[in-house]
Amino acid sequence: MRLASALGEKIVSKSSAETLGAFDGVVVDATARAITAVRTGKGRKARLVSWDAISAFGPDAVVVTDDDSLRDPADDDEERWTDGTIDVIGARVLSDRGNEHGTVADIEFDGESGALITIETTVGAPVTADRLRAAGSYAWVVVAADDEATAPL
Amino acid sequence: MSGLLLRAMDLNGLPVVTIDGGEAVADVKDVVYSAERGTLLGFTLNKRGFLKGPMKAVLAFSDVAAIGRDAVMVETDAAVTQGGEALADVVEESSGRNVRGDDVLTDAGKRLGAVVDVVLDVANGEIVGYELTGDKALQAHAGRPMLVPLPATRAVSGTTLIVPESVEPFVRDDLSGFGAAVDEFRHELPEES
Repeated sequence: MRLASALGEKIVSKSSAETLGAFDGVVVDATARAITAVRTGKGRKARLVSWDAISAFGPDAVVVTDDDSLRDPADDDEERWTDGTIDVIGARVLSDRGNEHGTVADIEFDGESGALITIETTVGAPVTADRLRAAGSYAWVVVAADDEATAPL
Repeated sequence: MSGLLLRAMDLNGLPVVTIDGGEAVADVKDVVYSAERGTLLGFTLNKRGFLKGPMKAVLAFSDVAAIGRDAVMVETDAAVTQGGEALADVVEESSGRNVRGDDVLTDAGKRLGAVVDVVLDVANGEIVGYELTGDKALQAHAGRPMLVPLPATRAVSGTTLIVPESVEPFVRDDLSGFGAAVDEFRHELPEES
């Protein structure tokens, strides 16, 4: 699945067929390199659905177990992904050698597990998810490619 | 030498970013180096954002994970909060020894110009050259920098730097070819006694 094209999909309850909101964003565990929750709304109105409560991530809708799957952010870390502290699409991408690679253009992920596969950037080659070191308020930090120091950006 | 070359001035204002968190913990205020030792020692820091202003903490080069075009990378924010007590003394000691403005003379007694900046190999923190303004004849294009390679070892006094006369063919005006010029120049130098 690609994140950019999936954003805006409906989040639908499997038990009631009610639309609970629009798929507006994700919470990422950069250490586990996986999406751990999806977000609808933003700021104080943001609600999350844990990845475990998603029964299908389809091309047209995110189907969640039931109406109670929506929850508030559980901790400060999740708050950072809902209050705009950490960006996803559009976030700065910085190598661990201190060179920028533009911003996050798209993220490819496994619709079953939520595992990140590649991070596409606006500058340079896509970054495989195993090179992700951290996602913070300043930048997503990725391990530099071997040729980065000499290659012009 | 294969590392990225940057002027010290290029590092001013760069964010200091944690690799483990993707957070910017400070901005570079000043680049601190030792002209005698020919090495980068570290950085003094400014707070970021609304709290702008000098920080007490400094960042020692030994605590830097990498220096790039866009950021100075540290493994964790401990590099900024804990590091640098030793550096603080060095900052004190080197503050009166800025090489900017120093004259550069060849060992044949010819003046090449005055130092406006140092060129660093950011991979190992070595000062590999100086940027000068000065001798118009050596300056290939008006307004372009004049980059002079330094020998691996050298003599520096308070106000004057002596370089071998043989450096002249290796003066460059562009950082992209400068690393090779430094290598060639050093290769041609006789062994230091």
